[in-house]
Amino acid sequence: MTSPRARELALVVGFLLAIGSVPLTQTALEVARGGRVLVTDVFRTRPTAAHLRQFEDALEKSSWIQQRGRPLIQEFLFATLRNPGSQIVLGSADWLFYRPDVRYLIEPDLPDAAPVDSRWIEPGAGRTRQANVARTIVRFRDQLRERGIDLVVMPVPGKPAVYPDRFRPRPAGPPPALESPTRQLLDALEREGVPAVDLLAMFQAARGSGGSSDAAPPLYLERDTHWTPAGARLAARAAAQRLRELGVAPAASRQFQTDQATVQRWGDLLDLMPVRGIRDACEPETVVAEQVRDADLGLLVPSASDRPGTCRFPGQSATVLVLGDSFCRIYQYAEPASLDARPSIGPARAGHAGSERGRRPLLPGSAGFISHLALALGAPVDAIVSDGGASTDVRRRLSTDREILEGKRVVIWEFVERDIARGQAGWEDVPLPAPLDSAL
Amino acid sequence: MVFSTHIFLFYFLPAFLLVYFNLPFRWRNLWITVASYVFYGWWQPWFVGLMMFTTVMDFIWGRVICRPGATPAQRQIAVAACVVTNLSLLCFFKYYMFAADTLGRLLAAAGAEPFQILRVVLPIGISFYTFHSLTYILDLYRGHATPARSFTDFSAFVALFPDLVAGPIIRYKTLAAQLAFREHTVRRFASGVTLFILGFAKKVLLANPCGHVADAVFGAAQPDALAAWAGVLAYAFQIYFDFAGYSDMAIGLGRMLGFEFLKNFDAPYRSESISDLWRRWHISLSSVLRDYLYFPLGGSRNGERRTYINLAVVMLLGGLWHGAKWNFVVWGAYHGLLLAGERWRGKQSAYRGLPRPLRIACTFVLMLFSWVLFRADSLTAALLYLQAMLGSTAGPASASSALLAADIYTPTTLVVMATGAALVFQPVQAHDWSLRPTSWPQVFGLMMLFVFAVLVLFSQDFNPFLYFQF
Repeated sequence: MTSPRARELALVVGFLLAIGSVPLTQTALEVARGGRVLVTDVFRTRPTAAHLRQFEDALEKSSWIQQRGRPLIQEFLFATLRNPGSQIVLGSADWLFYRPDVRYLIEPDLPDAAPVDSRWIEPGAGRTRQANVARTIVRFRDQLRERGIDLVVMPVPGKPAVYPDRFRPRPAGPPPALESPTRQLLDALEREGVPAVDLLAMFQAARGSGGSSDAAPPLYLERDTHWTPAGARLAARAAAQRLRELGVAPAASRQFQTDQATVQRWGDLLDLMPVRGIRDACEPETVVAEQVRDADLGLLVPSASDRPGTCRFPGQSATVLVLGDSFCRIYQYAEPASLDARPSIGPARAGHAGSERGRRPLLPGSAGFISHLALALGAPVDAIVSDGGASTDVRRRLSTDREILEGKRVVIWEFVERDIARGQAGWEDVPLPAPLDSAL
Repeated sequence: MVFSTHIFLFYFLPAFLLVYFNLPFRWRNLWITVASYVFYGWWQPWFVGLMMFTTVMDFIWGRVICRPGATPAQRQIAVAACVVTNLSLLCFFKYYMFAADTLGRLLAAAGAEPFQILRVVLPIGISFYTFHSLTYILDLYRGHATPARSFTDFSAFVALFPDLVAGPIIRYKTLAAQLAFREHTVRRFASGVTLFILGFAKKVLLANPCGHVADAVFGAAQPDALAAWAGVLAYAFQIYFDFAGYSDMAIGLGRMLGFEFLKNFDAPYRSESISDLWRRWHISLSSVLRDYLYFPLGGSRNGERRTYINLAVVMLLGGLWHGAKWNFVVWGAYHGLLLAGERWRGKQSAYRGLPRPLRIACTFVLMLFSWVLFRADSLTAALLYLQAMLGSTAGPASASSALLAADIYTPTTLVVMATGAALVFQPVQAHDWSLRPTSWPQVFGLMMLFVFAVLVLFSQDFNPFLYFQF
């Protein structure tokens, strides 16, 4: 076997085996499992572009070689090149950042008129112009105003906006100032008369108030996209203060108590790192949260009668409604889901949720933004939360709930700032639910 | 369908080869046509109808041109009708929106009401298969080729999936004899496998990671000078490894089927002048433009002034061939100007007196500036980017610069860019290497490279080929 022909034959056979063994093994596995052979699906549907894409995606996702090969190569790339995968940017001192958060701060807004282009891949696909976001917010404000309800928007800065000095290579000198694109949105909204809570300025000031960035209590978790309990508390106080300034804060009517509770989190960004066993190499981050307890009603968590994603204050009609995303959910209910899978929220439960999460203590609940807003106002607060869906989905949920707007005086609309450019389902106009006293 | 996908590698290609090598030779071209239509229709099934239409039309026009007893006038009318029809289809799908948008802007500037633009989807690869067909018709007209012996042969030539959507641009006369007869040998198949694996590795291991860096920097609002240079360098590597990798895969697949296509890249970043570059970059397009546009315009036969005009026209149209954007027009003009300048200096670059490494470096830097025009989303964006490269937008270190730096200056980037630089500036090319006898370590290395590239592919989210859009 030393002739050139033998070597050529070996190369040909090796290549054909490599490409041919994959579908054969896949088919054998599917037959052995008693399921249908997925590749035959291509003959079961009309060959439209959409169906073909779905078929191709399904084939890739169910592929045994991809399922087994992907973790292997990602572990190898992380071990050799510190490559954390496409979603993560490594920061200094084990800080992790979500790449879409970083890109949001780097990329400019889309131009006035997107270039007319018949290319296959359109530039800016999947992004929303800031002017369109402002327009949607103004229209939502107008819809609410017709019902006698005020709107206050609260874009939550991403972690990179507050901690730009936690990247490598770390710039010399004091933390550089950041020109966040969110500032332009807030200016546009101010011109339109839509009030907002400027959390970036608040957080930057809070970091500075410690004398140095490291002395201030951390406002964001190191390996998570979300804020710490301290960040959530600060945001709640800022929102309550803004409502008072606007004269729409409810009168204090409830007595709340707080208890300290320790929370351990590995972080959703760690979950996004495609490296098996990465948690074994890390200690969970421990933070202290303050659980808010109503003197009469106990913890402010959704009841069994609440719709998925909705939390109504028991027994009393709140005048404040919060629409938000996982920043409202964290510490409040069960922890936010992974950024890849966004199940609807439900009440926090004691015990363990599955073997994968067996090591992770569940969060105490009633220690997040919503409870602390209620605490700061001394009044009940209702909420609709959609993880990752604050741009449109949360208003879709609102549009199907005819009761929740009854008696409301103000709506606080919280969304993470990266959603301004890349919100799930964009920034659609969604009608409000019909009032209860109107015919359907 | 894309070569570097699960569906192509593990389903389409094995199934295609299994059927192909179990068919008698006379059925193989028909199978190539059918499979190529599946390959092409995978993006959008109706694209196939358009390609079938042009195939049937061009086949009939070819018969008319070569009809015994046809007068020169009849032949001229036939070839003109064919060229006009093909180019009309190409122009409609590729340039209609560009033209309508430009007109709309002009009207709006003049105070008139802007009009609604019909959104037209660009069928992938239309530029390539239109050029394939046109070379057939023009070669028939010039007497450089004989008519296809059957519709099956011609449709296989037009639809041949390895070179269908991103080239190389194959002329009919190159393939005519191979369509009638071609040898299928283990040696040829093995060299095809070698080239396919090398092209696949270029795409997955080098082009895609470089593309990540280029996308981040070109997408940034205010890159600093260092990041801007890193971004355009990454794009230079991305576009080379992407396109050369695709060409290698296409030529490799062609060899597996018994075809031999011409080389499309010849170490272009080792060029010592822009004229040299265009003999090494996208050779199939350069030669088509030379033979079917530059020479018919008169080439260099009608005096200096006319030569410069011809060069400018060819490069402008070459730029416009890449896409309906002013960027490409200016990119073409830039290259036309550089080529005219070199011709004015007696086909020599302005830096010919420098040592060879510096001549290569100068040409490479000139190329980098042109890639900015090629990659930026608009002319305005290109100008801003060029300003950033020249440091004229430099201000105090901003936080967004630090964020961009964290995103792009990673160990992965460093390794990929260093590997890319080592490969583009060395003389041995995959096309030539694949024709050499292989040793056992090379066989083993190739298989390992293929397995590694497949695994890395699984970890990548999105890997479009840049030239699909042209």
